[in-house]
Amino acid sequence: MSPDTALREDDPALEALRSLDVRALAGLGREELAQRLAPVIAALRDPVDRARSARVADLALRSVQPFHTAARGGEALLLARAALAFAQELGDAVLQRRAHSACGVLCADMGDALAAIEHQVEALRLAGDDRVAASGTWINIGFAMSAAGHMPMAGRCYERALAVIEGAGSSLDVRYRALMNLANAQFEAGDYEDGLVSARVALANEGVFAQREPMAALRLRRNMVRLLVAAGRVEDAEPYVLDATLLAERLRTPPALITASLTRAIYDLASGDSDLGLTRLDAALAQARELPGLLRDTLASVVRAEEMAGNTERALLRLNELSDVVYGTAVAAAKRHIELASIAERQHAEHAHAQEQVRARLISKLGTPAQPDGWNTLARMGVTASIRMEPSGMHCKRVGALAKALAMASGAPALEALEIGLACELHDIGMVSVPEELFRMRASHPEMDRIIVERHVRAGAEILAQDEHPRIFLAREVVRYHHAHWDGSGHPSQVAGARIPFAARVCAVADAYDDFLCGTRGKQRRTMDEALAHLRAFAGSRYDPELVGLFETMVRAETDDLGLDTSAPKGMENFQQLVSALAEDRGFV
Amino acid sequence: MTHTSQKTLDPRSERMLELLAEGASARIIAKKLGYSEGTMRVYLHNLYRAIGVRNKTEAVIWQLGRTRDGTSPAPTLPRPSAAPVAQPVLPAGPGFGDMALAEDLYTALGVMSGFIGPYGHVWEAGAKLKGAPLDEKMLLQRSQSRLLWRALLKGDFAYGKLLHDDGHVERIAAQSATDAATIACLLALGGYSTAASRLVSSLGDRRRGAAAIAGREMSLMRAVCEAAESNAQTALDALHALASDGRAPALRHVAIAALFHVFRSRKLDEAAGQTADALWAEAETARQQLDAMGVRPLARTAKLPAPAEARENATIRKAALTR
Repeated sequence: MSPDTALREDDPALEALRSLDVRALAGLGREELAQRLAPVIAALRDPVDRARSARVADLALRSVQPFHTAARGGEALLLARAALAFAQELGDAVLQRRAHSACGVLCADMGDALAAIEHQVEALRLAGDDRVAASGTWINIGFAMSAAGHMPMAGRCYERALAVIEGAGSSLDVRYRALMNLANAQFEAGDYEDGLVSARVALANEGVFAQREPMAALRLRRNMVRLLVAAGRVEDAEPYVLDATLLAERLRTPPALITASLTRAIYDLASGDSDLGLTRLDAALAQARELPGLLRDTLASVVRAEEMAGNTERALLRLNELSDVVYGTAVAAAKRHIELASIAERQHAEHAHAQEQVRARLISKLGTPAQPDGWNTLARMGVTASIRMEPSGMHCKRVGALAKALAMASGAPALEALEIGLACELHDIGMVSVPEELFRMRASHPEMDRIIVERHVRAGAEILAQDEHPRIFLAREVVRYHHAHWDGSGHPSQVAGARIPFAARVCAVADAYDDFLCGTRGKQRRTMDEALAHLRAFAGSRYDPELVGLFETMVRAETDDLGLDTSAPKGMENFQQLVSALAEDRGFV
Repeated sequence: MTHTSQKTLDPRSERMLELLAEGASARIIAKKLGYSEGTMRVYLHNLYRAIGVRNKTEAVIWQLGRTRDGTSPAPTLPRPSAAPVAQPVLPAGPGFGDMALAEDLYTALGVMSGFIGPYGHVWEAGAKLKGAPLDEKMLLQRSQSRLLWRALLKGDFAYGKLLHDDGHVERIAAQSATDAATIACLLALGGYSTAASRLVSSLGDRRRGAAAIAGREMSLMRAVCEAAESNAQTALDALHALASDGRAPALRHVAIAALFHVFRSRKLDEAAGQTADALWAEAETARQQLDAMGVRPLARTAKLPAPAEARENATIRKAALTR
């Protein structure tokens, strides 16, 4: 029985897979996509009709590429894992290899580099003598390595891929992909001339692949532009920038748009148009926060670009975030994969060294820190915004004090904690642009809350758009992401976990605690104990669980010292005492 | 067989080891060799380091083993480091802790003491960031706090007593909770326990009335008074907890300095030395953190000023060349 006869053309699983091309994927919401995938996963788990399952698995693995291109790795991973489970059950080596390979690519997309490498190593074992498959797997290992930020290792993987394929016929597309990626790795390692050679060879081999795999073509253009700019040949880069824009227009998927924005931004910065370049970078970074696999690369580009544009403080802040993201993902993954933990440690040591060098270079250029221009005006605007929510207008100050204490408790250096605290005072600054009517309509219109959140976040980011000073810069991030939830269900949606900037996560915890205690935004008033318990209930869903733990310890230690009754029914007076104890300058910071 | 057994010790060390092996206390050894007890403690500490042991008992065992069969027993593990936050840049030769024990914390820290304690360089940079005005009142407050902090580092407990006898304590304590805590440390550690506990209880009373907010400081004062008065482990634990509290670095530094003095008065030189090391690490970390923010209070050019004569010669030479 051939696979085709086993599957009727109107099979729901088949239809679902056929309908999911790159463009359709970009337009689908999370739940819609989950609904569409449900029959496919059911078919893969179907214990009776094995032939049908095999056919579905084959198709499902083929459709992983569009998922990857459209940055829907999380959803596709479910599919790929189901296919892998089926392949293992069936004992089909080729199907198993393909499933491992797909799982690996998608894990790297999700920022889980160690799981990715694990899958690819398994795929490599299953590839055996198949040189084309082995070479493709080496490329995927390199991809996982670069998602983990280990560029020298990634470069070696791509070189290995090229060596494996040497002399084998009908392998042009593998060669092309290996060269395209190798150019990127060589750029990251600083070998610009070698990188240019690789990129040129890839371009010469391109042919029809530009049509078939526009995303790879787009990445090649980006690599070309980066290399040319780094080698000082800015004027040669222009045609590639235009190509990249056109390709992104065709694809219109988030990764394509981010890649194109980065490419343009690099070109703009190099040709002296730094305002435009920085705006593009900002937009690209905001989008990349929704895509774990791209955040590291984007952040690294932003650090470089900010340094090039002479914004040392901002480059340093981004570098801190980069080391948090890289270390955060590497360590989190290592905890799940004990046997690979030693690789992660070694990788991290190399990152740490490279990053220390950049950091030292940036620090040597720093000027003396001072208060930003116009800070007092902004601080007053912050109070104005707070008054709209509660009559005292002290909400912003309280959140600032709590945020500073929390940042300090989580090990941030004192002055950084101070800056975070001051930045958090502006978290609701955008409320000045929300009309009173919207607040009044809240009771009758449940969707009004969401509208208010979206509106004040957008307006706040606009108010703070002139963010040359690091504090304003921090404040802008806080404003943008203080309603983002740890599990990605807040606003902006999809931005989750460590991809939410640290200051914004701190602010979210402090803001929530203050709301619970003061009963703002239509919440009921709670005692200090209840507020902490409530906060704990949302740890891991809305708030960073680690920060909630630290916050609770900090508040408990503080109230113990002050001898406050945390179960008192009218907790406001005690709460005020707690906040002023945290805020008062007693020669500490 | 280790390198220490082959090393010849100086006659004083030999004599000290003999006396130790006979069961003499530090006081008796001091008397026999004609040193003060404090000096002897330092000499003994250096000796322990030199032969690689941790305490008196181990030194006696080492000495007995050496005299019995000419070899020393395997030395115990070197003393554990105080887990400094950053890699401390220790001066070569004797460690920072030894230096602090031999002299005092202030002398050992030198200019680095400016980075730690209340109203230090970190506070100064923070005040600039906040845009808080550094007016006369503030500067006065700072110099007063720094004086007290320096007295605590030096172990100059008489300074606290002096302030107390002249009746300044109440006024200072009312102005600043931080200073109250430092004075209480000076009084309690200097053995003026009545004065210290009177200060603590009066502040405790005031807190109930006015909206005074000095929770952490109160905890520190209570812990120090208790640790200075009794030998109880719980008192030491409380002080230790405050010395590793991450909430307010400047107050943590006061607690660490107090802990150093407590260990020292209990003749736990090993622990005191490690505590001093931890204080150094705090200073170094604070310096690095300030550096990372672009604040470099000690940064100066390394260019040597030319001596006047050389400059003159250069001018003459230049003049000769132009002529």
